[in-house]
Amino acid sequence: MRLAVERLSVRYGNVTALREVDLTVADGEVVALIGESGSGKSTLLDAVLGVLPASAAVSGTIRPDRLRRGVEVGYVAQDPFGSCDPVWTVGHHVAEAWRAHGQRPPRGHIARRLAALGVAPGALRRRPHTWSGGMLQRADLVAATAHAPPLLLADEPTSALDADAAEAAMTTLVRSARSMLVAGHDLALLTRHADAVHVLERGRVVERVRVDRGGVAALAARASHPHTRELLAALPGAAARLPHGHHAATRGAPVAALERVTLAHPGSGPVLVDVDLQVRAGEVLGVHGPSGGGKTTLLRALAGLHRPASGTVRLGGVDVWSGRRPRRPRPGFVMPIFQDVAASLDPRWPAWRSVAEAGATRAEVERLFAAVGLDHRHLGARPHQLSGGQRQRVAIARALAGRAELIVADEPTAALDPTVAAGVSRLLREVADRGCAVVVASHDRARVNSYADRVVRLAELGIRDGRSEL
Amino acid sequence: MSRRAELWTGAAVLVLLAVAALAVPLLGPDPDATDYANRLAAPSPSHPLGTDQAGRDVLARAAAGVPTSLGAAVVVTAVSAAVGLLVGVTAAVAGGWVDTVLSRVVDVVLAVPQLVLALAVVGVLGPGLTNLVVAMALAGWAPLARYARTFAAGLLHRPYVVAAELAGVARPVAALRHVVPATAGGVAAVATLGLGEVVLGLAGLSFLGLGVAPPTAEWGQMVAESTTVAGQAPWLVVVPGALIVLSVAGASLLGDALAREAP
Amino acid sequence: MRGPSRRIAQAAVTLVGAAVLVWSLQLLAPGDPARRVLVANGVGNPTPTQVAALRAELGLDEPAPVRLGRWLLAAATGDLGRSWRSGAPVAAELADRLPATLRLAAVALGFALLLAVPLALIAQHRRADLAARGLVFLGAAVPSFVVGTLLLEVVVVRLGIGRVLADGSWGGAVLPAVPLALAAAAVWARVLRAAMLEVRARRHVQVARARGAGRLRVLLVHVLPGASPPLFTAIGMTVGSLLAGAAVVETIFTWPGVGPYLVEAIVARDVPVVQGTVLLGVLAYVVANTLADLAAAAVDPGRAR
Repeated sequence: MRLAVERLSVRYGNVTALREVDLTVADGEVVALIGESGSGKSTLLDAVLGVLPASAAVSGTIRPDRLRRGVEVGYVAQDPFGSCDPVWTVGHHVAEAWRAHGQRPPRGHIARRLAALGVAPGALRRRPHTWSGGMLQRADLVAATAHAPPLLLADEPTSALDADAAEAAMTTLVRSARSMLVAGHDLALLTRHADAVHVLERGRVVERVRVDRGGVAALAARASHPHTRELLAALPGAAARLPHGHHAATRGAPVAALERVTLAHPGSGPVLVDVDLQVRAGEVLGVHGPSGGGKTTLLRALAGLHRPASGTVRLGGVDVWSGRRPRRPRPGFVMPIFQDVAASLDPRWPAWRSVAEAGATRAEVERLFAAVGLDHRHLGARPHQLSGGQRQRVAIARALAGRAELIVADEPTAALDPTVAAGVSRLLREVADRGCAVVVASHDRARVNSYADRVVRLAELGIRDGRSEL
Repeated sequence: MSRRAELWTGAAVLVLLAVAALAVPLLGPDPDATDYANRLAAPSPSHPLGTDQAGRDVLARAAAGVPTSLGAAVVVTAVSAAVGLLVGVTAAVAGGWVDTVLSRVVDVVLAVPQLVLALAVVGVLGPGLTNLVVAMALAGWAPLARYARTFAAGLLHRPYVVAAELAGVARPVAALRHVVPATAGGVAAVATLGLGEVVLGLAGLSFLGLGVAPPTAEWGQMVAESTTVAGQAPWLVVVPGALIVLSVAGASLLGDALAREAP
Repeated sequence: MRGPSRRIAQAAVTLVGAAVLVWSLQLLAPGDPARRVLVANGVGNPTPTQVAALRAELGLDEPAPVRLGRWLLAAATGDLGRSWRSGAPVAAELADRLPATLRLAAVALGFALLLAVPLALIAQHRRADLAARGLVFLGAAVPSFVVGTLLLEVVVVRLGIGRVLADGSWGGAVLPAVPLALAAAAVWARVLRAAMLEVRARRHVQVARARGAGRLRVLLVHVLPGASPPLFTAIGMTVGSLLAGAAVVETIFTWPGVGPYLVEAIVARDVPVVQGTVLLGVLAYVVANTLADLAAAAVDPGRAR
């Protein structure tokens, strides 16, 4: 079956989500839709699926139209935990693919298909929250391909998975479908598995490139549109490693140190055991590990926010936990950057006030804004009026206002688009070059590698990861 | 309904009632003036909402009921909100044993359904409007305290409060700046939403004879007085009932609009 | 399982705490309780001897903690003391009247469910939503005593439709249940409607549609179950307000239940009766809320907090 989309436009009220999109997926082809958030990828998939809300204004054609959902076109979504109703068992979820059409699943069929993907069928009797992400994604795939639909639509199918699981999931997906239209923003992963790539920017297809599963290199060789080149440049490994000042390894005391520290959560087992870690001025230290592995706990310990079960935490040489309450060398010595950008600034305060609170006069605040690449327009803005990247810059300005000697950054760029993330990484590098110590926790190994002096893996620090990913 | 529309409609309704309470006594007949010759008269130009079983003008009585029925509810809500906010924020900010003790107290009070607790307090203090107000305030602070505590505790963990503490701001000060204003707004919104419930509760308890003593005008009591003649003169039930509905509706719209404001 | 048994244990502790609170309220009362009882029972100006005699008879001279302890222990075995008016055991008088109230409550809860669920389902359809919400809004604002009085005096008495059977039977419970059911249904419909809207926005609903499920199947199989936990909570809360609601409705329809018994006791300041009845109400409330919590946690494990 050949999917042909011609001059498709979709409007929600006065917001245009798609503009005159042309797209074809030939029989047996894998086509990738690449674009940043808000580029219209999901809207396009929803349109092909026929599940756009009634209020959407649609023009253009999709051939064949009125595809029978579940039978002629299959769908896989981003987060397997989000795709399954937590109320029912996984077995119920998979069987729904048949029951939705008034049929019953053929006896033993589900078990066989799951076994072929390496999943023990016994777990079907349990509910989604007891499964691991990778396993659940495979079960969901069985459901999506229940009736062997000739076309499979996948909306960011690997965004919620870690790098290794993502590669495996992508491979399985491609093998299970005859033709596939997959949307995402992970350039490297998608170009390795797709035959052709459509680049979307703000609802318009700006470029069509045949990559024949050739990876980023193939795309780079044939792409010409400025936006595509922008996306390529934002890739972590793409640019030459960001230049950084060579600080002679400071012979003095480290800015922060963990000495034989064990971290645990009350009521559960240890998260990190016997950790030795030192961070020096001017250094960017990356901490890499999977989500939920203990990176946040480590950062909180460094900031003096989490009391270790044993061992010593030192900031500027001072033992933080000599008393009952944490002691830091001075206010503002260590400042945080958070992943949840929306919550890192008081929503009721104008941006300058959040920065001033850390100990800066209005004039100093204005200088700091300039230093982080914001201008005076942003001074009086409330957080909801600023973009994610701008808010993160305000948070960095606040850290500088506190005259921080140590910045702990917890997934500072995870929630940002690739081009914006590159900008924030550059800024953190600059801050380090001016003498601050920066510790960054991230699950994005490639990006962290591009601007850190050193990267340690959480696993190397002597941790047992609680959840096993099969 | 858009937030603005809700806000203005709700406020308008309540203001209208307040204005009526002030204006009608000046323009209309005395709500206490009886006229047995003219009992149970249907609505007419001289008595726009008819007369009751003692010949009193229903419109005048209905307007006279605003301070008692609606005013008392406002007092109850304000007191409950203030106490609840204080207890909740203290529990969240102080933490430790203070939090444990206060939270257990709140749990115990919450284990008694609000109106039942009010009934129990009235059962101990005796009937009367003041006792009713005290009873409902005692019954109403606990849910607001729990809400305030949860709200404030959530805010204390927000990254921007953590950042403030790392920057050297002392905990109570950070709480005052970042937590209290937002929590007070949240509590005010929830309390306003509950204002309607309070109006209904006060009216219900007054209906049972536990509120004001006659001849003071109070909507719930007006209905109680006229149950026997309701078949002949249904407006005696409908008018106070409609005013209650109006008050509850106004309070609900206002409370809903306030609740939708803060992020 | 650890979860449920912990909840039940907490509920038991809270129940005891609430019982202590209920009993302690009487310490708020001004004046001498014995004196008040005499006055409430028609003795205009009780002499000090009369008051002292009654105090001794009612055991009011012992210290408060002792009286509290006695009362708690007795209550645990089902002894709620004796009415200060009739002298009869409170537990017996309650047992007499309880079945009528329970039948009324059951019928009211059933009606409310039959009203609320379809209303919430209808409200999921965009065009009907406004009407449904308006209906619910009004239903929540109309006092039950207005509905009850109008129903009784206008519909039954004046217009002659239907009959009033004030005999505590299932059939007789139908009419008085209406005002109670309307108030509860308004709250439940609002809660369920909002919960269903929230669940509908979740991805698994979109996935279900993408796999071919029709609109009705999506609502009934994929939205309604996940939206039920807040409804369970709301039902638990309604049980709490039933005692007060029953007091009003049973008074209007002269229903032989617990409500009027409580109201009379309040007017007469018959403390044991008020305490005993309120304790019963608290027990029902705690049990209902615990059951609702357990049910909600069973349905959606992620919500367990």
